[in-house]
Amino acid sequence: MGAVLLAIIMLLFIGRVVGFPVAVIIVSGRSMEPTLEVGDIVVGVKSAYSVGDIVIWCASPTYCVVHRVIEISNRTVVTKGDNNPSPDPPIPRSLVKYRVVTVIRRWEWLPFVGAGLLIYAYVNRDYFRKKNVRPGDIASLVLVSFIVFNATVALLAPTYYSIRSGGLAVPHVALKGTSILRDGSILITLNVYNTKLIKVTSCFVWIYGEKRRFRCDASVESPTQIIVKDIPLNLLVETLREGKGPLLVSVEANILFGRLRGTYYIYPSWKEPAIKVLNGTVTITNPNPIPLTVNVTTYTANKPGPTNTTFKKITLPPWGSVKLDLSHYKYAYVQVRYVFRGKVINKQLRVRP
Amino acid sequence: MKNHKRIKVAIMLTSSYGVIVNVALLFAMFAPMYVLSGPINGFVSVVTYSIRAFGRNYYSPALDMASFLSVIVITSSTLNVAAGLATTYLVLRKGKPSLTALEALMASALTLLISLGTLSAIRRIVAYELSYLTKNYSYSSSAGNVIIEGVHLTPLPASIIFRGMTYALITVPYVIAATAVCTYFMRSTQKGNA
Repeated sequence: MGAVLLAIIMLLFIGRVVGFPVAVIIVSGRSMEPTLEVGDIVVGVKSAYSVGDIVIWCASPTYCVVHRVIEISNRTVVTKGDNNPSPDPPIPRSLVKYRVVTVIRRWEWLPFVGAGLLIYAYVNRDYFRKKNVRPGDIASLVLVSFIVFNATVALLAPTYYSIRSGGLAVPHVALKGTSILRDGSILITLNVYNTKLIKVTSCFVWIYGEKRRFRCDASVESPTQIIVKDIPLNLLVETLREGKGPLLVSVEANILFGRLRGTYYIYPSWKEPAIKVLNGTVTITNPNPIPLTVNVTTYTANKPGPTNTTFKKITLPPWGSVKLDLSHYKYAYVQVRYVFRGKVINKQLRVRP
Repeated sequence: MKNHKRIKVAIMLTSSYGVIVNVALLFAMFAPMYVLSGPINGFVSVVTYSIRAFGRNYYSPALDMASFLSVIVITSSTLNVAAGLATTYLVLRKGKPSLTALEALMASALTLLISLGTLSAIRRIVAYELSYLTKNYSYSSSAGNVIIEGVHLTPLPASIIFRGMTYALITVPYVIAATAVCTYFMRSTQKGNA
């Protein structure tokens, strides 16, 4: 009776190896905690499964994984341990062998096995009495029991371990972009994973190809952004007006779990001033991070004939604008002159009528 | 008579040595072997581990596997402790060990040879995982050089037993002594009975 019971149990345990419709496996890892704990027995049957089901998939006859299905496609299945931060790599659908239908908790089956062994020893106590024991019996019993136990443990535990860890969240930092703000500061935006910027420890700025380097004042704007202030104006002027190489910013910063040392190329674009006329008002806007000088000549008159000419040299602040109200004249023209990329640009606009 | 006394002393010494070695081994199995510090921190023992990697709990299939396999070694050592204590008790109390106790002592000593192989596998698994955890995580990306702090591994006294041939050097002599003493005693008992 005992032997038959043992044979059935062994068959269930090796079911996954030989492809039985029902298989039993002992949980040996913590990836499915708290749903499944080490030592729990799961019973799997060959049946259809869907997202959310716990399945047993086997990469080899002896290496099986009990994880939850999170995605199913035509050919592959993605599983994940409830306790793992990331899913397993997609596996072919053919590797999924069983759907878990029952879980026997370790505290449900271990006491029964212990009690069963004790009852067995008590029932067969006469055998163990000295008069019935032949030389070698005890030694054989101990050795054979240990070998059977050893084999069972080796069979139940996965005999393979993967290089893939159970989710090592290594911090990752990548550049998202750089931009020049209205006050001439440079904003460096990063994509970060499992880390954050803590403190900027050094900052240098220079023009590509030049040896002169300037210290800059950089600070952490947000967990993903560094703002670089106090960029020498002449550097921007040389880069923008004179068309010298890109601006380089070298930053060293402390991040959670480490340090970041990066050099970023900044390509500021030198843009022409925007000139708009609306209802007799001329608006000139400087779209650049450095001051811009424009020469404005206005020609105004209230009747046909000679015109009044006015000349103004206006320095527009970075990103700033100026408005010239000529709406009270009947006739008004404006001429705006500025230097753009080494050329003198001359724009004439009719403001009124 | 003198010879009988010598065998008793030999049995006592062997079983006592076995108890000490196996208790030490059980202690080493449960005690932390290595302490990790840095962005990955925690401890690793053969039976269990607790690791936080980059601020998150880390679960290792390899270390789970090692802890599952350690059941074999723990069972073997527990058997040896029980058999050694029973033999010592019988020698002290009744003057001579029973055949059952001696056979149990010899068989349990032989199980250590099996656990020797298992422990070697466990050691490899733990070493592999620790080398993975203590690797250099620094890298270069579009943001520049990201230098991740180093992970430091501090071995604790419990790890000594798993280094090199230590475990084999302390268990194999015990297995040989236990087998020899028990076999000799059983043979002399059989001759005496005959």
